[in-house]
Amino acid sequence: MIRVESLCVSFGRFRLRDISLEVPASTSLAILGPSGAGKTLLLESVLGVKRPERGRVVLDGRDVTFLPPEERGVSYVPQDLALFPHLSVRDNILFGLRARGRKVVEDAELSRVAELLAIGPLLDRRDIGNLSGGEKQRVALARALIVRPKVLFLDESFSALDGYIRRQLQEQLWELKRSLGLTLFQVTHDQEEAFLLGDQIAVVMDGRLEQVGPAEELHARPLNLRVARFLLTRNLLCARYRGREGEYGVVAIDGVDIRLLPPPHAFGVECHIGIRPEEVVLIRPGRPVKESQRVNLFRSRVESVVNLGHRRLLRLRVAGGLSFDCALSPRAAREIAVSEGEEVAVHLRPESILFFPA
Amino acid sequence: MGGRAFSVFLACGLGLALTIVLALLASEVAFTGVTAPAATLLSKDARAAILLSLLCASAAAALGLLVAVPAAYFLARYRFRGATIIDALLDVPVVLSPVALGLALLLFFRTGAGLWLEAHVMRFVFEVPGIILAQFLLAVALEIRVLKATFEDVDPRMEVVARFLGCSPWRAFTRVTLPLSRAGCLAAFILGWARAVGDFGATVTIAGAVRGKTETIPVSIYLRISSLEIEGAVALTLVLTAIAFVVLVAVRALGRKGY
Repeated sequence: MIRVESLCVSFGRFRLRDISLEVPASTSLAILGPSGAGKTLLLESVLGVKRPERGRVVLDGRDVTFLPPEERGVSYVPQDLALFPHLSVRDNILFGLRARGRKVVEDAELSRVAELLAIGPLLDRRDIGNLSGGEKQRVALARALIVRPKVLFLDESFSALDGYIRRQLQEQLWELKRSLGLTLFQVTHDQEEAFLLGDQIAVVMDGRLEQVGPAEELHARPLNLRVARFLLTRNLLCARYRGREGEYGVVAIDGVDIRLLPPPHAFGVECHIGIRPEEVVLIRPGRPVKESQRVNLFRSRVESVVNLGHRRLLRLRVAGGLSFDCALSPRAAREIAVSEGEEVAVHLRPESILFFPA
Repeated sequence: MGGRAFSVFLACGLGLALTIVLALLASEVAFTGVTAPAATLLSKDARAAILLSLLCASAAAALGLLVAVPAAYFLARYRFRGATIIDALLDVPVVLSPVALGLALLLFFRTGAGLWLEAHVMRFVFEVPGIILAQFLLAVALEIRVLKATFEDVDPRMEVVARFLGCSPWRAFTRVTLPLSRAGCLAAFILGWARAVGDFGATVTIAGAVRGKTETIPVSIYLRISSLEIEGAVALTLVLTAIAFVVLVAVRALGRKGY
């Protein structure tokens, strides 16, 4: 288990402030944030590559804050992988065992990681530079895993790969994490990767830890507007809170009332609301409206339909100037068959609407 | 200027530079003939001068590397207050006239520390160790410059990864950084060696021009010119040119191979 306590670290004028995290054994933490948020600095501080000004890092109950890297028993795969170009694939992978003087187990361990990562045919390749991006990635993972690390640290290791190979390797790592019981500490700016590989996700922005929690919690309830802006990117709308009506809180946008679960505290008038495009319910023309859908039921006009391949994004405008995006799977889009300019009924579930005070 | 005219302009510059070098060489060969350098090489004192030059330059360049590797690595990897000043100071021997460097050395051996070294370690002034020391100072500055650039080219993250894989800082350096810097180390050695083998000013100032004792190739050329043995001086110049040419071709070949 790895525990980070009140870590503060500076790099030039940039400062990471008071970061506390905990990653239980055999689980994974994904550090998510935009470029320049301080994710890599956080990873390097936890690793001990950068010296923290305050705070400590505890690994399996032992304070390792100022322990040299070679005594920590963890592995690190940096963004550029840092494969050793003067060594063959085999020698790269065996580097850690040889450095630790464990030559006797070389053959067995090499076979193990080669099988895990399906890199048997690559072992006799001499020139690392001629490997493809995916092959390099597998070799770097094999080199990191052969020493059986307590924690595997990954710094945007998949970012240089193209979509298909990236997804394939992410799924392979997920599988490895499950089968080997790996503890992962991973930095990424790719939300899908964070949600795929992170049991917990920590959102870091501008040197601050904004939110940390289980992936589902982050997805469902971003803690504040900054996190919501980063995670949602769409459908964040300025609104005015009008107060409570029965079981719902009510906000108004351009004269349109929207009902949501009442906020837990009293807030000022100005606020933001957000709704994920996939949570917007489009009601098929001619279909009866369910009783539960009578709340937040609007007539809207389809302004545009954007084909993103794996989903269609519909821009909907509600009377009064309120507009938002609705995401449909290709199959749903085919069945509903709406096109630009058409009028459709749309429903926003009160429990799907996120509320952020100004 | 059109594309074709520009190409002609560039070719003219190259042609002029090449013509100057070739004209100088041709005038030397025309003066001595082709057989004279070979005959000079057969003479005992010329061979002794060549041997002394090769030995001193090799020792100076090798000793230079022993100092330059850690110094350059330190400068390449650590950020500290005054680094720029230190970096510039280490470059001084590169731009300083070799005679001035030799003079500074001579003055050093008049100080307490210098006199103590002469009395208790070995004699330098007017001796072969003096040549090596002077050439070492010329070579090491150049070697530090080349090696600093070489080490800066090696991704520090590779060393970090090596540390996490179980290497101490020393082992990460010897197993990752040094092997990746082979070409740079070799280039630094060759350039340091070339600087040392051609030195006249520093050598003659600290070690004098003693025939048969501190007579390196450049000193021998000087002595032969002084005694009007022009043919022998030119022949030795051609030998020195041949050595320089081979060394420079070797540096380029190694650079291409990424050795």
